[in-house]
Amino acid sequence: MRLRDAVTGAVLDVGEPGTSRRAPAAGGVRAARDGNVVWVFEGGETYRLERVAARGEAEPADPSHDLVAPMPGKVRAVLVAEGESVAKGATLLLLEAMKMELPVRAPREGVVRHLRVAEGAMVAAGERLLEME
Amino acid sequence: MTPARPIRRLLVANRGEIAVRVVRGCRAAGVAPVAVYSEADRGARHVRLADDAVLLGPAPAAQSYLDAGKVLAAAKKSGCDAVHPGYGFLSENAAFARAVEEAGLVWVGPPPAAIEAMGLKIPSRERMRAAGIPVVPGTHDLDGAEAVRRVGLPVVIKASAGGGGKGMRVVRDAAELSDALASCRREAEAAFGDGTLYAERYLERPRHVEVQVFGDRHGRVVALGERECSLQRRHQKVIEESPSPAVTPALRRRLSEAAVAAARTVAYVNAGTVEFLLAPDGSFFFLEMNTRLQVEHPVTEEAFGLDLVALQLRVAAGEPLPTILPEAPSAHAVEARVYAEDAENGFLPQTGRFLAWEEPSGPGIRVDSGVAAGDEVSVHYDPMLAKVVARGTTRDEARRRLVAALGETVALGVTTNLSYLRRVLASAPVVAGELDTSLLERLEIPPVPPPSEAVFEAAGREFASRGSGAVARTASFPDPFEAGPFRGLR
Repeated sequence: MRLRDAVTGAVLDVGEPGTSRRAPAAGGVRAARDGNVVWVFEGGETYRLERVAARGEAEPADPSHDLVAPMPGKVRAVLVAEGESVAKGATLLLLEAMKMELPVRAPREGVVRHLRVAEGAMVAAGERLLEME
Repeated sequence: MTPARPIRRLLVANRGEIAVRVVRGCRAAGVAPVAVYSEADRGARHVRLADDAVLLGPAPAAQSYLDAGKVLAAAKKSGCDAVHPGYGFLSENAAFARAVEEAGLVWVGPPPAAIEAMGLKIPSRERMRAAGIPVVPGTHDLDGAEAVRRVGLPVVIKASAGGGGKGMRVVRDAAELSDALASCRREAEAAFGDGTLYAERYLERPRHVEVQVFGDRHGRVVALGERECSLQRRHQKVIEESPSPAVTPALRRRLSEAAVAAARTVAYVNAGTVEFLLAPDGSFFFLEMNTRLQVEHPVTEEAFGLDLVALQLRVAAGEPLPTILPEAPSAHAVEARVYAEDAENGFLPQTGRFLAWEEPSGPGIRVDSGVAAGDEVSVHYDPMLAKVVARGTTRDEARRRLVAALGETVALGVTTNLSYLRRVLASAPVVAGELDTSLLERLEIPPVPPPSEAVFEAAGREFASRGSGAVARTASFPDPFEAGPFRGLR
């Protein structure tokens, strides 16, 4: 089952849960389903997850203002080149951690000046990924 | 003004969190509260907490909470001897206040003449100027754009009958002036039925600081410190605190004197707020006076250890203000307004039904809320759901408690600004107390952290389980749907 969070755009395939009910995760995770959306609360944040059919384009719902890694992980794909003009909301790279995929989008229209990471690189949360002008 | 007499039974002429707040003030004062409600608010929290409740009519406010005739009839029918309007709705409607008094009921608010005098912004500015209270340099002569140019650019154009940012524009370039005047006039006419405009010098990066005033029927008017409300979005306050990190004891004395003088110009009685813009050099200018209890009154209550609603009831019943009232705050309090809005997508208002709603608690934490799990947030009313307030011995302690409390607040089923509030409160300028009224527009805050794998797994289990409205949780949380009124939602 492939799920997408509408708040951050993060996507993860969780396999086929429910066949054998796994132990609940540690910490105060709350979940409530309303039709096609499951609302999940964890660590003060609230997420809205929907099923997505297949590995595909995530919808634009990205709140990021900063081109730093929002989570630790591996750079799965770099989708832009230095000097390239990008529109606001364009996906610049894909990060991956655990099996989760997170698109990093352009917070504004601009030109990619300096790519600080390459495909396959491991990055820490908060590490600078690229500079935009 | 009606003669002084004790209040026994009070109509709470409002809904949501402020109606709940007034019900609690009634309990403190030993008064029986009676709620009113629309068809959309059957069984709402304020209705459940009151002793009695009267149905006003259909959901739209114009046919329920804003219908002065229906509200007054509800007060009479339910045997009330007083009416508290809360804020919004009929609270600053002088004709309604007068009708309440003419019906022989006690109006818990200022004299109708004071509401009228402060309701129109141009005459109230003139009154302040005459009383020697500083007002922002401005002009009322808007027939000629030349007059606005004399004020000096940038200017802000405002509607005399206005409020809430409607009919308001900042003009930085003389070439934009005539277009801005025309569009403000159209907006003001549409919103208030009065296209009268005025212009004020636009102060760059001022703070919004307001003083809580209180008058009694025995001629006493006091100031109860200030609140800083600089954190605003589109002229809507988001986070407020008391005391202001920018106000020294000496400045507090000057602000208090000006606020009391302002209240005296209209023989003010009961709770009111005098708003000022505070410039970086410590000079301040009268903005307007709000002739009601403010949304953000809890920060004053927490910083000063007072129950302003209970005080309103005593003053309305004719009692004098207590002889000894605190002149300086004894704690710091910060409040965050929880709105049903999507902060990640243009702050659009959100609707829906709460699958879960859990409020925080702990030392120094107070929640003024009008919602509960199972409640519907509709398009009919203001999207403010609750106010979370934290008190501390220092500003930083209060701020940190508030961040933690917002992180404990569970709201599933309706998108709220809870995460946005936490990130704003953790941002460097807010931590440092370096605030101004345009800070929120330019503040860059970190994005929402991505969900952990546990979040995806919890969602996967929900999708895999049977039924469409099931509620799962870890063992540490009780299930509110297992028993009680929400069982049917399963």
